[in-house]
Amino acid sequence: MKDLLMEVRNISKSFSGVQALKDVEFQIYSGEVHALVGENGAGKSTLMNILSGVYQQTGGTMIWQGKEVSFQNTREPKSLGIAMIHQELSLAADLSVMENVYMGRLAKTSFHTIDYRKLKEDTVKYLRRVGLDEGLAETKVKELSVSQQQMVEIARALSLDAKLLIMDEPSACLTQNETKILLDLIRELRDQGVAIIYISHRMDEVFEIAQRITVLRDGCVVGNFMSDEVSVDQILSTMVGREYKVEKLHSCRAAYQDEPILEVEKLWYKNIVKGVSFKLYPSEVLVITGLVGAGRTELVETIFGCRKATSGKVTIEGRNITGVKACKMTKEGLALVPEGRKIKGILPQMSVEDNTWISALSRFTRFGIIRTNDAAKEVEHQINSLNVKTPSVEQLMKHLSGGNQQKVILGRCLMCLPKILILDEPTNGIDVGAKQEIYKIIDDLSKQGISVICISSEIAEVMQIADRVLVMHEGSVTGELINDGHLSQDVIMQYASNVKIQA
Amino acid sequence: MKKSLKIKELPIFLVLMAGCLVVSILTPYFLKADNIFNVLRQIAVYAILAVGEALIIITGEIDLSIGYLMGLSGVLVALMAKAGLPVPLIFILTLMFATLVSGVSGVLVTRFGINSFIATLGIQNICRGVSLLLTGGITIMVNNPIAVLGSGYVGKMPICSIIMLVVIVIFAWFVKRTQLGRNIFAVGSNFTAAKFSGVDAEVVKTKAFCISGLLVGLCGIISFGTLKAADPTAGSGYELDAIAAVVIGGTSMAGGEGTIVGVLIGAAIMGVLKNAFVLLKISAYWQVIVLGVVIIAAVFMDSIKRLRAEK
Repeated sequence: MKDLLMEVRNISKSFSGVQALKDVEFQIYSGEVHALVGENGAGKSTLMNILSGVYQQTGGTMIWQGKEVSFQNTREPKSLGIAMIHQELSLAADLSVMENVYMGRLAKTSFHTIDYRKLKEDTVKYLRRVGLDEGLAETKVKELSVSQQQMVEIARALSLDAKLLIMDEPSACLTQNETKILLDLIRELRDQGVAIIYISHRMDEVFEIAQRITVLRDGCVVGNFMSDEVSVDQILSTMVGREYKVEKLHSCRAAYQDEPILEVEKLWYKNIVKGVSFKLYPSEVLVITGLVGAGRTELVETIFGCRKATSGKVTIEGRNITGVKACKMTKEGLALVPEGRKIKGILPQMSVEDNTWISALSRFTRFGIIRTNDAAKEVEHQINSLNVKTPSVEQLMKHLSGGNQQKVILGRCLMCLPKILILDEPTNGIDVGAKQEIYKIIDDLSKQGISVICISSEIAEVMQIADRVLVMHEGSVTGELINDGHLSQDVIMQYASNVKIQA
Repeated sequence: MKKSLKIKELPIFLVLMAGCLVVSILTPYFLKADNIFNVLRQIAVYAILAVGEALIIITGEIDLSIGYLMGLSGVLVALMAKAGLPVPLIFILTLMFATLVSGVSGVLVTRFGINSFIATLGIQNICRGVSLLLTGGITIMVNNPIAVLGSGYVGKMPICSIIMLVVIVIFAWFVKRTQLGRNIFAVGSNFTAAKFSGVDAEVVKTKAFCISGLLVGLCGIISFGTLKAADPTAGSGYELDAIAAVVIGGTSMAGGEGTIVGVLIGAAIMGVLKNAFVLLKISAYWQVIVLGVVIIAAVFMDSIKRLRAEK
């Protein structure tokens, strides 16, 4: 039996009357990776924020190495050896690696100037432990790759002599190779006796490194498993609270015998999209998949005119639209739900109504003046048919949940009456319920004769919605597959990592 | 779905009313019709400038050139009047000129990627220099019927105040009910998202600058009319008063938020404050200090609200 490092007993937390956590019990052992899974909003982040002192619990106790503790601020857990690595990295990009590792506690000489020699010596020690090149100590953080930055964060945590490392979706922005390096490092740290709480949505990773899996749902612990005694489906079913199975949700209506509605020919964008060609047919749902960094987003953004194509040709129903600016695309019958709601999607301080009609206003104006009644009626229709949960259309967009924001942005695109809808990771960061609703909407669209291009990284999602799948690897299409219900993760991964398939 | 009726301007409107109440208790003369019309006349130029500035600030940019551009426009009015041009031509040419100059600022910001603070600081200096060159640094006095826009009255109501109210009404409607108006907010709320939603974001910003320029030109004519003279240094510091009115009126410097009625109330609060100091015969130096405090207090209220919302 491993040493019990920390115990959480009956922890509850409520925010102005809303119960975010209820009687959560949780044990952390030294030298063990403990995965924490659950849907968005299940309370994972709240729990971790209590462990790292950001929030204070409203009930329950925490025991650290046998002693009861309570954290009033984020410094107290740090001094005990609890380090949290947030999803968004918190490094100062313009400072060197060593200055980042020792930020706030730089070694001083007797003249109170910074002792760079000692600083470097100390830093190198930890860089070695996380498998980074020693020469990087003096490199500026902004010159590192995302995964290297993540390692620097871990090095900083180790330099604080962390006994418990909390990692919130550390692999979210990493490529497959980088993830592998990260997982190797986590194993190594575990063997050195560090306890690790690993939050992730990726079941394959969870099963690869975790010994113990705790499932949260609606603020309660609903399952506690040893990873070698449980299956992925069991975990997923526990997470959503009902039977979970992947099946194709919609039947193919693609009119492959017709003329293609969209044709992309040898499209290049810098060195990121490399000569991609494909055709899209009426009513088809085409899914583009591949690893993060494969150039999928750049491909659709180039088609949509947000990026200037280096060469190649895009035609809609035979009309050449290469080089048409994004703001003219709605007139061509093309609409895009971009990736990254917060950055490219929502207009946070504007109302739901404004957010919905902003793209389609040209349809409702005469001499630039909006026919408000007509437009508002259409907005209401979209909001109702997409089942957006909002107290009124006057509600500010920033107050909506992620799933509802995504539906509003979908409504924005639909109000333009597109012939082709492009969705870039439309279900990223929204919960399972809202996901299913979005799949249903995609299916309805194809029923209405709209063609859909959807970027997705989730195999379950690909299986549910795709008629045809394009797999991209480093800017090129490496595979084209028909979704006949027999697609497997293995086949897609082989194309995505461009490993030759053995016959 | 029902639309909820919420008046965003209510808090600052209450502040204005409270201010008026206090001043009217301290000095009964404040509520005399003559004085009220006087205040309305004094705030006209600031309020009109502030409407244009608000549009630019809502897109997420800023324009520091409006004060001196107004001064330069006034100089042009005087020169054209001296040259004997017909009134309608003077009117149109002045508006076109100011629109063009602000349009140049807009293009510098959107096409050449120059930070708007810097670009308009440059334009501000150019305008000041050109004004001095054209006049030789001497005030030009001319009598011309166009001056009625600045110094005329309809009954007791100053014509410039009527213009101000018309501008407020038009633009309060404009930002709510026209595509360009909504796009101005969209661009300021999230520039990237606006572009992805098919809004031609650069063009929208440039248009906001042009509209502001048009209003600056109008103010140039009014300010010439008030004195029937063009002072080459006129308009100095007006941009800061306009920005103050915008901010007091509840427009966010970060862009994407603000109301035109709020701008009027902001300008009115400043006008009442200045008037009160004159009526109460308190040193003008104190007036400037209090104005500074009011600006900070207005933004403070806003940031408290935001901090509370984030918790």
